Amino acid sequence: MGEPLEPPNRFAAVSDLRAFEFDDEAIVFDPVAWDTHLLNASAIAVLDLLVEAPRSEADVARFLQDVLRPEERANAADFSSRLIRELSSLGLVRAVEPSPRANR
Amino acid sequence: MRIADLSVDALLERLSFSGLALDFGAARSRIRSSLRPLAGMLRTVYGGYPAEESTGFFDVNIELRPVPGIRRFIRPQCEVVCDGVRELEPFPLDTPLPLLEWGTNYGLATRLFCYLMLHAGVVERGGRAIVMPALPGSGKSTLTAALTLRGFRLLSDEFGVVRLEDSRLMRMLRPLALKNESIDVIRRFDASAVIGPSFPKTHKGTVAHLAPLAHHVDARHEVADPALVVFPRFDASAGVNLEPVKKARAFARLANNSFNYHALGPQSFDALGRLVEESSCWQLQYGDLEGAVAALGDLLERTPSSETLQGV
Repeated sequence: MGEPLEPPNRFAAVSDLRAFEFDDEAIVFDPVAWDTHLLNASAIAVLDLLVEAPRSEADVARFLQDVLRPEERANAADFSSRLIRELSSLGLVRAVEPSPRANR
Repeated sequence: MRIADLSVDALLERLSFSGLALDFGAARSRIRSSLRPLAGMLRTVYGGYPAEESTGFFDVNIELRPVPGIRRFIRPQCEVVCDGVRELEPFPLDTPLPLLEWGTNYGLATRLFCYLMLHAGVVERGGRAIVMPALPGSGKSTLTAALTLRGFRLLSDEFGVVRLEDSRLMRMLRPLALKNESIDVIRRFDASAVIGPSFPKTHKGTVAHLAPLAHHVDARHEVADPALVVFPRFDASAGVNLEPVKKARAFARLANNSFNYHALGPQSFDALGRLVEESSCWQLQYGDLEGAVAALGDLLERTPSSETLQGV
């Protein structure tokens, strides 16, 4: 028996996404599924972050603390979780394995 | 020589043997038929087109023929055959032109995958295009017809043809299909409009076709830059009301209203994205046709071209 696998706790944007940003919205093309999505400003900001590098929900929540309005900041963790879940369900974000020995 | 310069007999001979070649700009078709009434109808609505030799490549080959069998005697019908395959249900024999036009639409929509094909009327002035995507019944064809009768040049009533490499608009110049009340509206709008015979009782009601002007036909190989995307909606109780549409929403509506956006994947995404980037996007609600034409002319004048914007 090997060590039990840790659940993936980081997320990354899928490769080669194409996007047009228009004002506070964006249109994103998923090159794998050939699906097109309309995203709002929060979703596109998080997607941009996850294009740069894989991040955990906590990383995304910290990022959102900086961009959300003051009255929304208390909900940054919930917002992060919901955005990642929605982007994942659209196929734009995927869970990645934690790096070896990460978080130990 | 233009098709209007041919006699009906000469046109019928072409239709019956070598076929009648039609160059729409972005595509060519060849029509074959032995139906004499069709020759006269084509002479009216395609009169401004050059009478070309029926040689070279054709994107669509259309044959219109009587349905054989006992139907020849009881309610005779005609059928359209597109590249050898009967694609649509037959029509009454006295309704050949609408069947030919819808058969050609079907053929073009299912074959031309080298362009992004939007379901839109498109006109241009000064090389700057207004793309008008709309659902049936929105007044798109009426507005497109009115604009072409007031100095705008017609690119297409049905297909907004977008070149994939640079998002320029190409022409797919065909007669405009007017339906029901729109036929008389356009007759009253411009008494000089050349409109073919009316065909009542089609599945879309009464249909008649507005012939493209000869100088629009002569420009059929010119391209235009995208300038405006306008979603028209006829409302008899409205005057003229223009409201901006967010570009991302305009993109989504254009993609959903396209014949082949989903089949072309990243190529159509890039082409449509550039088109929307370079355009100003609007919703037009209109009940006053003359007012709508004037408003779109003013809007086009007021909209800076994408080249001007890049220079700012």
